[in-house]
Amino acid sequence: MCLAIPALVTELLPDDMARVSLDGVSLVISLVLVENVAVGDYVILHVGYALTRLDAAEAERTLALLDEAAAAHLAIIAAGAAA
Amino acid sequence: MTGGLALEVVLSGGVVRAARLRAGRPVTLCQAMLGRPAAEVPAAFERLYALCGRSHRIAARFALDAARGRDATGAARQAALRDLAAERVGEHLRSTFTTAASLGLPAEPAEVAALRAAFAATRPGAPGAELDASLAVLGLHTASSGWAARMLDAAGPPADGAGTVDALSAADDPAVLASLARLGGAFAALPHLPLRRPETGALARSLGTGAPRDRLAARFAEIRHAAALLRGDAGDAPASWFASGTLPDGSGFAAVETPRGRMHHLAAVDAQDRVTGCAVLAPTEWNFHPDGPLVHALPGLRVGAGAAAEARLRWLVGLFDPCVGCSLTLREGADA
Repeated sequence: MCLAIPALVTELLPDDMARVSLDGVSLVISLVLVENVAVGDYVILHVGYALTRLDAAEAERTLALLDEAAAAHLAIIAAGAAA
Repeated sequence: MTGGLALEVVLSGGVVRAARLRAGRPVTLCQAMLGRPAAEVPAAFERLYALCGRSHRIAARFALDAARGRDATGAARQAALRDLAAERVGEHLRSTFTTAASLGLPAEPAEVAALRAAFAATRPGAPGAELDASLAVLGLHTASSGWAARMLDAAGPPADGAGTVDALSAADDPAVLASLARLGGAFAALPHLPLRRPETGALARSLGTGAPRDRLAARFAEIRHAAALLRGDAGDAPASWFASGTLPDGSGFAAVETPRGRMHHLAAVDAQDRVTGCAVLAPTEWNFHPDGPLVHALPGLRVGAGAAAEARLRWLVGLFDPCVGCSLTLREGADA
């Protein structure tokens, strides 16, 4: 199951492409499936394509949930290592 | 979520001699749901999954309702079925387009615009009015010309002696749910049914043969059917699209036909309506099981060599439709 990790659009490129920052990593992705994306928007990615555009508030809510999920996952790993 | 897939294929004389699939252990979000108010959980699932968020929301909602002892109302079921139909159209289009694009199969500018419009029309809350016109531009109503016909041609010739698939169906729900309840994450990571190697998704739902062209034709037929459902021209969605109820231990379950196959959710709540149990089994875990249908579809397959072999195999992987990226490594040799 593909996680919906918001990526920040940092630069629009020719041919419906864009540069995004995903957790600090810079990637070039396609915007061909979404419309009206601007620098400063967030997008949800899958295999190099933006699927959905999010505003900053939506992205923050998603990132907060993902942080909680990651913490829960790390807790399971830690519990397994300690067992 | 599956932590990534890696397919290694051994070729000799243009024929697949062996295949091995490694799947990262799925990292589900269930642990993060424990202790949350149940009312928050369906929306959280939708927010966190990129491809099948609506299916997750629906499955979580109805599993939780069942755990609370509530039956799904007719109106809620109808709304859910419309959401599933819209998600199915959008995901089948997106998956086909992105796989084809990765192989350098072009779409004309008008077709790209139609894909984008169709994709937008299937998003949550979208009016959907442009969907049929967009599908017509893509040639999906007849699949005899345009983008759809070119995709079918690229997928290869019609089935000729290809075997039928072992379809995961609603009849399997009791066995699947019993194992998921008993084994939890271990079963969700490596699901199995005795003496079976089940596949799920468009082809399994069509009960067709396993040839690549038939896989894509089944997907296109589902797009047409789901679009007709959204127009109100196809009656009700089949009952198998959606099921929910309770297990003997009182936990709730839901089984939902997502775009890429049947998905199962389990949920339990306490007296304060907080989540105390959660398990999710995704369709990719069946189709991309290390001993599953994709791995067993490959040996003996004539794919040619070099770039042609890689393209053929990438098409096939795309038609099995993983919900995460799948790397592909080819090497020449006698066996694995």
